[in-house]
Amino acid sequence: MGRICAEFAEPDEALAAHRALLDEGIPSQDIEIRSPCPLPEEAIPPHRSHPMRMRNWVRFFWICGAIGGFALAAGSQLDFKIFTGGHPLVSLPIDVIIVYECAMLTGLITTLTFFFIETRRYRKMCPPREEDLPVAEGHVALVVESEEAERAAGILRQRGARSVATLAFLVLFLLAFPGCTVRMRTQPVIKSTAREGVAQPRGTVTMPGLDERKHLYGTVLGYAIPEQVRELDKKDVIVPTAVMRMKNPVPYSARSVQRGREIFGELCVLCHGVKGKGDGPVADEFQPIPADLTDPVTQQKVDGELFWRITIGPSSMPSFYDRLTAEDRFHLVNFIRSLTRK
Amino acid sequence: MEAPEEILWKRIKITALGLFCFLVVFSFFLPMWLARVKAQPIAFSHARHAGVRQISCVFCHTGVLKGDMAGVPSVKDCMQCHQVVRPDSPEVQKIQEHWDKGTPIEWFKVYNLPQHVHFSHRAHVSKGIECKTCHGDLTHMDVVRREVDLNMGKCVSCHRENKAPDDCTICHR
Amino acid sequence: MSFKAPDLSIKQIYDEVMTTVLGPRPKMATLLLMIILAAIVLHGVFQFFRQSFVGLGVTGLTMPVYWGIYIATFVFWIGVAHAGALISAILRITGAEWKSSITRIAEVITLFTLPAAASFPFIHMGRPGLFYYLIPYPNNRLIWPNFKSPLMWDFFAISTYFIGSVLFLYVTLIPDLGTARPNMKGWRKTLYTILSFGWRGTAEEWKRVKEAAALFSVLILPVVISVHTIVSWDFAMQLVPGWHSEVFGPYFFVGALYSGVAAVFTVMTLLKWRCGFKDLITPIHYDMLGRVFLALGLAWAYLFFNDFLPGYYSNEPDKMAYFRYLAFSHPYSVLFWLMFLTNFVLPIACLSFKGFRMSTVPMFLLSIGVNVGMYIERVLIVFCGTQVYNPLARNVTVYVPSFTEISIVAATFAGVTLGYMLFIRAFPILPIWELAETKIRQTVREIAGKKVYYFKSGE
Repeated sequence: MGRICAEFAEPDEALAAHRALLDEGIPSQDIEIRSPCPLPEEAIPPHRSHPMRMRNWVRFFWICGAIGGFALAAGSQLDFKIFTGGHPLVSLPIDVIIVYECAMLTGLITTLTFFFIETRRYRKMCPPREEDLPVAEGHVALVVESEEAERAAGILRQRGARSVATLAFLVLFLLAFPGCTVRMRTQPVIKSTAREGVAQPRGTVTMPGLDERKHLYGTVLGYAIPEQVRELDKKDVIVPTAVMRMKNPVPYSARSVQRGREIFGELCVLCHGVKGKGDGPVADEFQPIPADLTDPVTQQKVDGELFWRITIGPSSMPSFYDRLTAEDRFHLVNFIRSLTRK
Repeated sequence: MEAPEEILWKRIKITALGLFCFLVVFSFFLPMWLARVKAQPIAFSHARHAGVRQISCVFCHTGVLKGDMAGVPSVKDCMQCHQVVRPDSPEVQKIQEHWDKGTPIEWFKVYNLPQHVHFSHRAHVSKGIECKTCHGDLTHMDVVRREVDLNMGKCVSCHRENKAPDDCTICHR
Repeated sequence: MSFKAPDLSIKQIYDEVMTTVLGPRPKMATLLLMIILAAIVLHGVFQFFRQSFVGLGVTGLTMPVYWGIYIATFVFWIGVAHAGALISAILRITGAEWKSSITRIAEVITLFTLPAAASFPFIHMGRPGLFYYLIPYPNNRLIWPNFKSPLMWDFFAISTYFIGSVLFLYVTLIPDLGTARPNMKGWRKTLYTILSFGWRGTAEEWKRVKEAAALFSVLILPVVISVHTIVSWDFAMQLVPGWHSEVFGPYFFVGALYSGVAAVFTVMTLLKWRCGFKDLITPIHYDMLGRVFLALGLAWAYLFFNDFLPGYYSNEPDKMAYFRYLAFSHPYSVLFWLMFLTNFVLPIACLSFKGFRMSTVPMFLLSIGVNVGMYIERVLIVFCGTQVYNPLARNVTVYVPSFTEISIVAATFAGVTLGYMLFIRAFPILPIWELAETKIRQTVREIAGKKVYYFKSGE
């Protein structure tokens, strides 16, 4: 089994030589023509040909692309309710544009894909050899592979190439973009409207000074919060006489008790228990233990004193002057009264 | 002996693979690493406080019903209880140090929304949305993990389920 | 009007084309020019990053003009990018034999100008990193792009056209790469080996390349028309009097082809002078392409007047105010009449004469004039449209492009030139196989007693 390659400077000569080989009795399946440009097809008896169905595939995928584009446009219009307040947004001209572009894109990509697939299929049929190459410098070559390969002239051997398919670069390109958006999640924003609530620096809050809290929640009925409360040293806090004498500004009512119960459930229940007996889930950790609110000792205290005790937190109890408004504290007083008033 | 072109191809493939790996790391793992949850300065346990002792969230995160920010308790808020409760524990000693020196505790913020999103705790909590919807069930966590990924899809789907408005300007204003 | 292929053998064609790739190293002057261009590009990239970190405040954009020189240049580059599709697809389908010297020149223009164009919407964005929000995919934001917006149509059309034209260029490049591969050394050998995909040049492969090229021509032609029509809808869908015009679709499309052919003339002449394609680019090519140029010039002029005439006859106040602003206001009237001269008066007058069409230097100057005129046209449409239409407050701010904008625009011009220069050094700029094919096709030959035509027209 020999294999030779003959080069010709002009296509005409090559075709004539090809004809001569056929006349000599070499079957046309054994002769492969390689040229730097397309040659007249009528002149070349078939080498080993494979049927070409590129056009049909492109038609098929064009239609697939159109259907896909329609699904995309229609589906998104049914799904896209943000700007439309829940109403599907269907618009035919827009659908036509999207369908058209999708179909065209699919057709273009299919063309290239099937160009590769079909040439590859052909190359599998006639696999490339070590020395296979297109012939250089505008020559036309005949490659003959048969028992009687010695009849052609001008042998030139060169090394061959391997085929490749990599489309990974597109994927890489797209992958690079998530990195660009990190900034958006972290950069500061200029707000047109002020934000409510407690202003917080990054990460945590500083220890609030008394003056800041005064600004937020007011003073306690015109009395400054004693310095001891801020310093957590509440042993010597004395209830002001005016507070002792004052009347409860929030009248006792079912509504007020209900509000008091809500606050109690959030802030007090953990020590004083659901029923106010001083048996909440963390009560055993405190020394002295939390007071039993149903106890007559507590209930005999006047409204002003109860209010003041909630405000500053006697002995081990936390102070609530900054967490509750004065009104809410009086709601709590009303709730405490409701514990024994049946 | 391999042909030179095969060596060439091998090199090209290795380079492409390396580049691919690099970009995957760069674009996928790097943002994940940047957004990781860092260690807290004090070993505060939500499981102990909110789980075992059943302290309500509002007791410490006082801003929840008052405004946009839930708020982290100040050192004073910690000390009000912990001057009495287990003052000898080493972690409480750290708080005591902060209190004595007058320095804030630098907690790490686990759930962080970008500033271009407007979110109000009051608006959500007062409508009855539970804390664990967005923050996960903290009553079993000693150390807070980011259990719920707060991305836009999460917000939008929940808004749609609850028939809340989903205009762009509700959050991005 | 018959075209005679240059009398060269395939080997001579190959040698002449490959001089740009295999020839002597470029001179110092060329290298210096490349370095200067690269510096301009880098400066533009720097300015772009600065803009995206500082914000769009560094541009001159402010009310009432919010589409500035970025959008004008975008439209201009899209227009020039139409050259590739026009020459390759239309001429391939119609079987014009003189096309083969011009096809790849034009396709490579598309290859570089289309990315330059597509980068401008990206640059114009406040947050360029989030451009992928335009891609409709099921994302974690549960948000889909708004298909009612012309921007979305732009995205689809431009990306389709870009992918299509790159693939088109690549398919027609494969045979030449395969042919030239054995003679290559160093990095070019690597590149050609990868890109030529194991090309051998057998008859079966040729059949498939021709089929693919024919399919590409048919597929890409409607895409080209849709691209610039959709770009024109960016303007025409607005209620600005200078923009809201029914004729904008064909007007922009013809204008695009007009500037595209002008760009082909410019590049073709430069290649003829610098690379010595004296036998392959002849006055006959100038004559043939010049006729196309003339026809497009007439069509452009018709649509240009058509844009104004309905407003003029009906004396529509807004449209007339726009026209008066263009023609008689201080900064823009000079530009307007310059455009009128270089786009309408000069080309129509000169191109009517065969002697003019066949002479190289005048055609070169004319093509540059038309390109400048087309750029001015885009600038006038984009700037003046919103500058005049100012009904809310009499805001008299006149838009002036800032240094940032100018350096980014200059960077795209430099980038396209630089890309073209590098492409010429890396790949054959004329299609060897098409030139050879044209030559073979013109000879009717007799083989084994059978009369053989190369292939029938219109195949």
